[in-house]
Amino acid sequence: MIKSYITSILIIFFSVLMETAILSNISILPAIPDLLLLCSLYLGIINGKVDGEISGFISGFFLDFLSGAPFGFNCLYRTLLGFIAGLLGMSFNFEGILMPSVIGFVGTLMKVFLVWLISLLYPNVSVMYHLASTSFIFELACNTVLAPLVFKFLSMFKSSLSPKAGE
Amino acid sequence: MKTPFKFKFPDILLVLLMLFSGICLGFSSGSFVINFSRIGFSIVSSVEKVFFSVTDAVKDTFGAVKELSELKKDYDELTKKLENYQQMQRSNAEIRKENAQLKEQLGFSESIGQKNFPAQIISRDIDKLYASLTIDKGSAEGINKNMPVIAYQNGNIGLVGKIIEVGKYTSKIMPVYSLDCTISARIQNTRDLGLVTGMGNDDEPLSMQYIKKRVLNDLHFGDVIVTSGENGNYMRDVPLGTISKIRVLDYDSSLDIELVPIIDFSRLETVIVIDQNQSNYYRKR
Repeated sequence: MIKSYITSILIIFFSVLMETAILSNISILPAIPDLLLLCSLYLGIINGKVDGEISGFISGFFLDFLSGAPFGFNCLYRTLLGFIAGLLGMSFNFEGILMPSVIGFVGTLMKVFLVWLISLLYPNVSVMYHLASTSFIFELACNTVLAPLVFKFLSMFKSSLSPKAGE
Repeated sequence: MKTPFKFKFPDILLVLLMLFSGICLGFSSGSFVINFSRIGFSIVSSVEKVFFSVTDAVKDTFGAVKELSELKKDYDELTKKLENYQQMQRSNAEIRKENAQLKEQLGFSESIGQKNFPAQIISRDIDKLYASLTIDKGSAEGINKNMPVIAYQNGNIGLVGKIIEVGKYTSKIMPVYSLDCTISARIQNTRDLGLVTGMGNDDEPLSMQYIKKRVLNDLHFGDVIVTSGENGNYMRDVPLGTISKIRVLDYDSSLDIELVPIIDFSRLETVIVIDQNQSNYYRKR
């Protein structure tokens, strides 16, 4: 149990560093693929609601420290996304290429919806994604394409990430 | 008797986590006794700095090996080119001009009247929602919150933004293109005062408001907009951008002006943080 939490946190932390220290400095990219979102979704899917919401919360926690967003912004919607992934995760098979891509696609759209919802609830948070912008389309495409690869990569650590798999 | 709703541990945990996040988000615009954001930023961004340095070093090592193999090839080509270049006669004035430019670039940091801290950008906006830049200098080097940040790029000085978060060894900058960034500015030629705000993205122009319609005939495309320095947040007369579009709105007494930032943020690597309270005199000595 503890081992799976430590491994999850390490993977999330490494993803944060990948996004902030490496990918954000590549100026050619119109947007950065949300590896953290994909990791949270995967962890929620394989371990259920509790792990999903915790991994979502931790990933948001790290992002709030490093991004210019007000503290709590990323935590809030990523916790909910992790929970939803855990809630729905057991109901479908996420092996292969198609399902992870669909999960990456739908997860990104849900992120947009939750960001919009937060901007309604918090008047000072006046941000939202522009669905027709190049940066959003690029991020959506990246998340969709990268989801199978990230899921495949993370499945190599499945025994460490999932307490059930280790039993 | 069965209760229709039964909360289990995951649901309670979700509520707790979301409550925590929600409260934090609510408080983050105001002041809180314990500044979680600052503590967390200090810790995580310091690790980020180490990570950046390691990846940078690895990248440099691989680059150096590749560079070495290309050096030989380049050397031969350059030798040939040098022979050609030697035949070209450059005027004395041109050489002097070039020399002056190089000196200006090298000594720019020392030429600033205020104490300043050159710094390198180690990370940028993670998403396109909140704009921020992280630099490799923090409170340990003397950086403080609200210090203005400028840059010297292609022979031009331009405003980058201001420090909004200071960690021990890193700091966070709110760039001028951020939606939250509002700067008191003047049109350099006419000295009309207005407010410049960002549109949230470095690809998009800046917006200048509150310039009266009556000055429309005095404005030209390419006119430089500079900081007014009125509220003390920024130094006076630091260029922000040049006018690229002027819109006259029937329902508004002011003009809607778009600016192209002086700084090309996609190519920006190093910045200079200015301490307006201390002079740079001791460095010149």
